[in-house]
Amino acid sequence: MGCTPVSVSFELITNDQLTKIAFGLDKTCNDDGSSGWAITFELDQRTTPTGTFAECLKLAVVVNDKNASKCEATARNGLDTNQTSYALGPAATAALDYKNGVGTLEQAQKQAQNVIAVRQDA
Amino acid sequence: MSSCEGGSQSFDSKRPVGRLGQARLLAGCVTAIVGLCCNAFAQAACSDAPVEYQSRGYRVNRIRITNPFSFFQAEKAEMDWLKAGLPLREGQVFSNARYNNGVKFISEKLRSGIPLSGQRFRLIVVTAKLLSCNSASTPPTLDVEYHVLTTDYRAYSSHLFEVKKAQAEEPATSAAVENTEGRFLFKPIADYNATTHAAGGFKSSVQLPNQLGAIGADFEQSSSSIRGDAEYQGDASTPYPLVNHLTWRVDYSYYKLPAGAVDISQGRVILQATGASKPLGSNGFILRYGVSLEGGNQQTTPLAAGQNTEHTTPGSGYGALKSYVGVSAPLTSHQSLAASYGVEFGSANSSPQLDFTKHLVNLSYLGRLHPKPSADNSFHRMLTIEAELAGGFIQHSKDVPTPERFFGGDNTQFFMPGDAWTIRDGPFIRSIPENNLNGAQSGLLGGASFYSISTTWSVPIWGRALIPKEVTQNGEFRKNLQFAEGTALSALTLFYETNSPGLQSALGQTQSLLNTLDTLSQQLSAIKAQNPTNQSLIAQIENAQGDADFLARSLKNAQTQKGIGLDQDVADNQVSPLASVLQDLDSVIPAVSPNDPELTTTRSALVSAQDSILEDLKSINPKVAADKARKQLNLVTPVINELVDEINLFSVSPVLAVDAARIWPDRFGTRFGIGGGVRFSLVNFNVTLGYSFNPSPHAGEGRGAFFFSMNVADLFFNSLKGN
Repeated sequence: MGCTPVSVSFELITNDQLTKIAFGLDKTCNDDGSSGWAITFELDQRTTPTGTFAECLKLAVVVNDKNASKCEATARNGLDTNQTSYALGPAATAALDYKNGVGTLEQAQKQAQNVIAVRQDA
Repeated sequence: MSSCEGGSQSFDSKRPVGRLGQARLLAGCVTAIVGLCCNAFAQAACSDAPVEYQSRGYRVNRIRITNPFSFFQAEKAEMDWLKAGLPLREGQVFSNARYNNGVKFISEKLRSGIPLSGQRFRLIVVTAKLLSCNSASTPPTLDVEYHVLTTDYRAYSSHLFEVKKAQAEEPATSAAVENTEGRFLFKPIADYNATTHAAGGFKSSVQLPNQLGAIGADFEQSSSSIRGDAEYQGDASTPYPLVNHLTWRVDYSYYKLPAGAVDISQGRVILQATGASKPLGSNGFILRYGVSLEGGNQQTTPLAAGQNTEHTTPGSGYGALKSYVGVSAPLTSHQSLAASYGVEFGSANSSPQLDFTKHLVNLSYLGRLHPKPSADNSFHRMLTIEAELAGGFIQHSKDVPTPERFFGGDNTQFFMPGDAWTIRDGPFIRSIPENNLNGAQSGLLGGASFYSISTTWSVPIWGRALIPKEVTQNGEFRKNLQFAEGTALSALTLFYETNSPGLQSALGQTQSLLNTLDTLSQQLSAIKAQNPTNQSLIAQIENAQGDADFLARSLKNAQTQKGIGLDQDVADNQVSPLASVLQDLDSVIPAVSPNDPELTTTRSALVSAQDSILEDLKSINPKVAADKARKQLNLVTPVINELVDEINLFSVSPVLAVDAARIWPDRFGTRFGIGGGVRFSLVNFNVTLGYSFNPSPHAGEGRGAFFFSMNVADLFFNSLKGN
């Protein structure tokens, strides 16, 4: 069997019981026979140890192999702080703009591509 | 068969589970392991890529969601509930997309449907495969199987084991009971061992509402023994490091047990309070402590002729004040140690006088050494060593109640009855039935001092890794694991930077930048109105306005995220939103500048605001936030590594058990036990059974005894240290 779909999710509550970290790795078997991985990272917080967690940030990234060195470095080591900040800042704004009908798809795609471009170490 | 209790003990599970629990759990474990084996071999996996079956028009005959913990009723119910919502349904034409989405659906539902409150760590792995592809039928059919693995580790039980012990004893009910108020449990029990013979009885408990604790009663009787107790138990957690968890018990217990040629019995009321600290220090050791006040009476019948009763009281009152302190701590990444000392000040009558003092020590070691994959990478091998050294002596100035002397065998009394942290109150040796190491051959009735050493060695020879090898052997998995960790480190670093004064100061300047952008927008609108026929200029202005509006929205987004993203909004590079606005103005200004110097001024204001914000951002020390983030991630990475490289879903291991024990005074010296057996492990739950030979048996001891134990190992006792 060529491809096995897999979903792996890690969740961890910190010692103070106020922060929850979650990783998710999803492998999808595509119709063309290829496979793709999507990665999610989520940070939730609450104000009291018994309260309800509220989502602080959530990243969802589809990993595609590309030849660009920054993309390779990103796939190898994850998003650096610049990239994460860009993903949560301008790229997220552009995505929301598109969703809300304020911005264009081209603008959202451009900002998403910029997430790779702002990497520091490659 | 000899005693079912005792045997190998894991660190935080030093207390053997109840006999009923053993029987039920063994049945459940065997069922689960058989189920796993059957699942693995009963149905042939389909060999082609899933999309091939879609193109050939296969129909879904059957969908199953399997879980190795399905013998937990709560788990089974959860799986059935999940099946109802799957995108792919039985009877439908097979769809590769729906098949894939089923994996995500299950993972998401488990995460969102089962709150992580009170638990520290959880792993959810969902895989899918196609089975029983039947091309001969019309239409061709196949089965879909989703396999779910979950681990739930409560913050408290990551290091303490009461909850895990309860789950081990009550596999079908504990998961539901934990979140249920007013739950009543009653169950019959049956048991056999060489000392007490066949026994029957019941266990019952009522979980009181509003977390008021629980009351319970147990009773078991055989032709030669009686055990019974009734108790109230409550517990509480506190924020104080040294008093992380407190438990209190009020208990009346009675037992009558054979001890060689005599019966010893004891009835007593126990008031008990025990506690545990949070993980302390750099290596995460946990302190345990407890105190108990006991009172009652004891009898020994019938005394044999010539039995030496010096310093013993065949029948008397009994009172005791007990206290203990213990510590459990990781030694290395794969080794852990636990140590305890207990002291008892006892009286052989109802008056509060000191008749004897008992001292007990316990030292336990657990090591998981040399982990490496099996030859076919299907499971993980490692040498597991469990060792326990116990010893004690009685200083008796006057009489000692007989049950308070030391009786050894394959099951022993424990110093603090009912307490989860256990200290042996007698020598433990698996080759001699319970209470039969008692000095009777020397004309004694129990020992005044003892020691015992027990070791259990095991190595898995067959099993299956917790994370399927098709996942771990896939290079993408580890690559993406590294991706996830790197991304998490960056995200956490940014998150912790939001508390820095530099970022807050930069955020404070954002409003000024927003005001400048507002001015710019008005200026651009005015220029546009003044040049209605200059299409080229209008296009440039509209582009600049669009970029300026986008920058404004992104800045407001950064404000709501406490500054996250602000550095990239204003970064001095070619792609930031502010850089785009400045580039736009560089195109517009030459066309209008001679007529509109205000636009140049506005551009300068934007650059000035950019410089000020960047200056504030430079004052942030990224190392502080990065170190904090790294510390948080250090919780995760070792756990992931253990899960991927060391933990088996199930395994079968040969076991070597070597014991030595003796009591004093006893002229026959040290007894030995050498045995072998097999261990079935289901993730961290172990069932061990075997036979231990007594190489030099004396009268009443027998040639050996079966041993049987169940325990729940703390998988991440080192990975989670100090947190």
